[in-house]
Amino acid sequence: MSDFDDEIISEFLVEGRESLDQLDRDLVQLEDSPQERSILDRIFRHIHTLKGTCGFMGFSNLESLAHVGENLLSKLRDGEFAVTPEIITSLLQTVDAIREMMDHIDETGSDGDNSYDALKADLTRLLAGPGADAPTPPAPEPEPVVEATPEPAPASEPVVEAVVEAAPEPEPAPEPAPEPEPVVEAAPEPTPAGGDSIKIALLAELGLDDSEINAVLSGDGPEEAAPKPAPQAAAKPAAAKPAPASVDINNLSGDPSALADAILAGATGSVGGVMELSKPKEEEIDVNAAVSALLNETQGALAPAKAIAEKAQDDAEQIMSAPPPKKAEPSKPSSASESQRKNRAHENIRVDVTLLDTLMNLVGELVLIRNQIIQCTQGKEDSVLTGATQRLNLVTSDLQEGVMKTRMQPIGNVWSKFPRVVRDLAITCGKRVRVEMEGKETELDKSLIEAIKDPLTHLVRNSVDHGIEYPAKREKTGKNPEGVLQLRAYHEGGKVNIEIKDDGGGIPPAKIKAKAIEKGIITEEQANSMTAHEVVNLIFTPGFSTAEKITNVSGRGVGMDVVRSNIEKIGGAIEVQSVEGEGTTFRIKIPLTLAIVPALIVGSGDQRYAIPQVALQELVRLDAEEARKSVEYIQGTPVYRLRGRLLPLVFLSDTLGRPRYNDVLNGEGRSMRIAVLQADDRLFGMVVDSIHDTQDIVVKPLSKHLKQLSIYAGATIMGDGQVALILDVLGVAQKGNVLKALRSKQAETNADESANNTGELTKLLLVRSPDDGRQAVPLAMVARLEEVDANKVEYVGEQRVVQYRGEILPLVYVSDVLPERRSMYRNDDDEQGDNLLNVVVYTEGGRSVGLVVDQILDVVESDLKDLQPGSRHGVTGCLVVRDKVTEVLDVRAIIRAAEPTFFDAPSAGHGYRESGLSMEM
Amino acid sequence: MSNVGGQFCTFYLDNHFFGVEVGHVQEVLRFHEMTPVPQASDTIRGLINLRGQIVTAIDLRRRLSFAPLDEGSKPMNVVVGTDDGTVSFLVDRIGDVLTVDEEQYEAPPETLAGPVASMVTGTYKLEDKLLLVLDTLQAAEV
Repeated sequence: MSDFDDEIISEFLVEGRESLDQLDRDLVQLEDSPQERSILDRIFRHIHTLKGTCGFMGFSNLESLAHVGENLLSKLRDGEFAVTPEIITSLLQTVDAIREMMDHIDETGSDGDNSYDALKADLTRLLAGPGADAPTPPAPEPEPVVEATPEPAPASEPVVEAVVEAAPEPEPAPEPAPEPEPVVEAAPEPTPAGGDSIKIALLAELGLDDSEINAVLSGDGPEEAAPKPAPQAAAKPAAAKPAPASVDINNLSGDPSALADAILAGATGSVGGVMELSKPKEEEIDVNAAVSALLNETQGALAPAKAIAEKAQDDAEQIMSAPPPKKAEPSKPSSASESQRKNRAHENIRVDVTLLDTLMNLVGELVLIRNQIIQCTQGKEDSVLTGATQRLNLVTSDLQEGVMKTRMQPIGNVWSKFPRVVRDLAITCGKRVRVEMEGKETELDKSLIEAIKDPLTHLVRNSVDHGIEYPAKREKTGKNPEGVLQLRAYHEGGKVNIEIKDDGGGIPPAKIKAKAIEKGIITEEQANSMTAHEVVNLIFTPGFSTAEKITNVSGRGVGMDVVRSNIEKIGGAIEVQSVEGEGTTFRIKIPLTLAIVPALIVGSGDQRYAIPQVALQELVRLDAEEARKSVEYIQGTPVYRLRGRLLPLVFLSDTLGRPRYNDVLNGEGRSMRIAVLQADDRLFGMVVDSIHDTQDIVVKPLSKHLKQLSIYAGATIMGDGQVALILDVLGVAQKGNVLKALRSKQAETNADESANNTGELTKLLLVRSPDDGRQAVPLAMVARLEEVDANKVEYVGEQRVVQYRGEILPLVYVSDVLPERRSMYRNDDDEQGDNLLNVVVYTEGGRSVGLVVDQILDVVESDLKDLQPGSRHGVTGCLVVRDKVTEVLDVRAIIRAAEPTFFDAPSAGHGYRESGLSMEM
Repeated sequence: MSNVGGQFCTFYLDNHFFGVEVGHVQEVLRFHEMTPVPQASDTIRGLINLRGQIVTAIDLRRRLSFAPLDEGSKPMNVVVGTDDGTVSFLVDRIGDVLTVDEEQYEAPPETLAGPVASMVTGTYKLEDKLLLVLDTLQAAEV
């Protein structure tokens, strides 16, 4: 091996691994369509090339295993028996074993000591075909050879005889421990000192002269010129001269003890290698076959030897029965693959990834320098300089694009291993799963491909393990017993969307809820107020795993939270949709590339921050006066009405914990600048102190000291050399409580649902709060409106009540539950002032409650689709009604807050379903 | 301490004299403009652009619970490579590179307490002062 450059070996490894990947794919494909000859041919070719190359390199273990695999494949190819899952499994295991050995070569430079005996035995067993072990008697074997190649015949017969003669003498005890090493060693330097000479003597006895002996020894045979050294070397490891390689074979056939050894070792496949070499030289195969027959006879008692002999026969038979053109093969493939490689070299070159990374970094630097130069030349009159700068700008952009492209890879590269993963897993789980792929060619940056590999694998495994049901269960529910796992990828809005969809049982929200409560992730109350969608997304919470038993597939602690955090780490997002009984879809959105992104530079005080452009929707500038007028407050939370929709405002300076500059709301500055950003599905406005410009920035990761700060996505270097932090829009939104996630989204969902259920518009009762705030109660929740004399309010314990139509009506003061900004403490004295209380009566299950409001204004119709998430408990959401921000009250929540026992009545729940507005907050 | 003695890059912090093994030090710089990182721990003073590489600057005074440097005085940088990338320690003043030998070495006194105890791995008794050996990995562990 020392003869070979590391370079050759590493090239071998790279190509070999590619071949293995391809084999993985092809084998799985072959299982699906066993009739496809082209696949089988391709598999065969790959294994064969692999075997040839590693023989050439001297990796005998690897080669022998590949050889056994090839034998099996050739049987398949010749149609001797059909493809069965068992065969495919064994072949896939072979691929795995080869991969392991390659890893070993990579690490240590040798293919290791593991000879994979069990696997080889397995393959050998399969080689016998479905018809079990019924090896053809050795007798007829020589015949076809003689026919096929008349020329070597004379040579072959005598040798067989010679061996037969020689046989009785030697000891009948081949070591039963089949270790390939001895043979390997024996090969280059024929240790059984007698072996060679005996052989020569034997040959001489046959009346051959020296040159003929040499010819036989060198394995040329009379028939054709020596094949290229490569296949000869294939018979043995270590860098030995071609000639001894076949001497070895002759040796083996000449010296029965060596032969016995070799045949034993053949159990581990070494003999396979030898035979492979012998393919074009039938006379030697004859010898082997005959000798094994002999061995059979003379050492019949020795069971292992017998089995091996049978195997050898099989091997021999298989080789013999191969079509004649195969003879040329050992010499062909190396040249064929060489020319193939040459062809490929015209189109592709292999480039070390680190080189590309370096290039990428350099381009990144160049982009920065370009930005710097552009900044310098702005406002300069020098036309030559500006011209050059413009060209520099263009070229840099093109260069950047080009380098980015070199890093783009189709997502199919990651997916390609999934059929194999799914197949193995499905078999382990006893399920049937078909993989469908769409958009394999969708490209994304290499670093992203790497980053999503594990999360995707996890999701795929999860889908097979937990998602898709057992065939019996599927049939029972009227599904195709074969589950379908769909992988879909497509570009959308500068992002790559990846979907992993199964048609399995879906995620049962009830189970998730129970688990989440049990694990203390949510409280029961929270659980009750969550939609199915939210519940299902709980699976991404750290520490959540519903796997009832820990299989070797999932439940090992690498949970969905890791999947999510890995995806979020690269600026992506994941969500899950699941319909119980119908399946689950995971949807991942990730950016195309990470390294260079367009960004908006904004300022907080004297510091600049970058906002990735993908999150930016629009910029809004408000004059000071306008700003003061149009920014409204709900509970101190500023909102702005952007074309009729409420936009929660977050002050960047507040988020950063810095003082606000130019805060128009405090009477400073002349205008207010709002960057409208999208985080998840929510829009919010980020109020910044200043807006600079947009730039392509090079994203640099933050050190681990700062990684835990979710508001930053990284840092970049600005044109002037200063470092600027890149804001993580999602993190900022979370920090600013825009994404209180669960609660806010639900309001939308509910509102949507109700809008769909009841038509476009919902009637709302508009009331006024004591602080002149606007509030609304869905009219459907209102039983009656009453005016009650404040003096008639009585107390039952803490509870204020009035007598009303012969009943006791408990009163709930809305302003108690929903305090106002300048809320005054309400006591009875206050109420005595105006004497009449406006009461909205709500009835449920025969019981009533009176909601005391300040004033009843009107009944309006409004589209609840526009509902914005509520900011506090007791509020479903906010709406713009008649140009005023109006809180839509969650009546049930308010009542529950004031009088927790109210809903304990048996028929609770009735009524609100019809209300048209789900109040289950 | 298996490898006692050797060359140390020294610096001053408050009235103490510290040293970092020369092999760990990438470079030393005078004051460098920093970009503050709001919301980060106080120990992190900001980010430095070190020829295109973004380096986190750690205020060694804070890290070792010393009193902060006077307003207006500009700390210097000792840029050190760690397993997690490059960090810069902000120090009062940079000293010489000193060669010390084994005889001068002594383990830090047991009575050391506080963050210093965990970050000082040894002392060298110089003629006029003590050289405290700073464990850069520990110190960078913010």
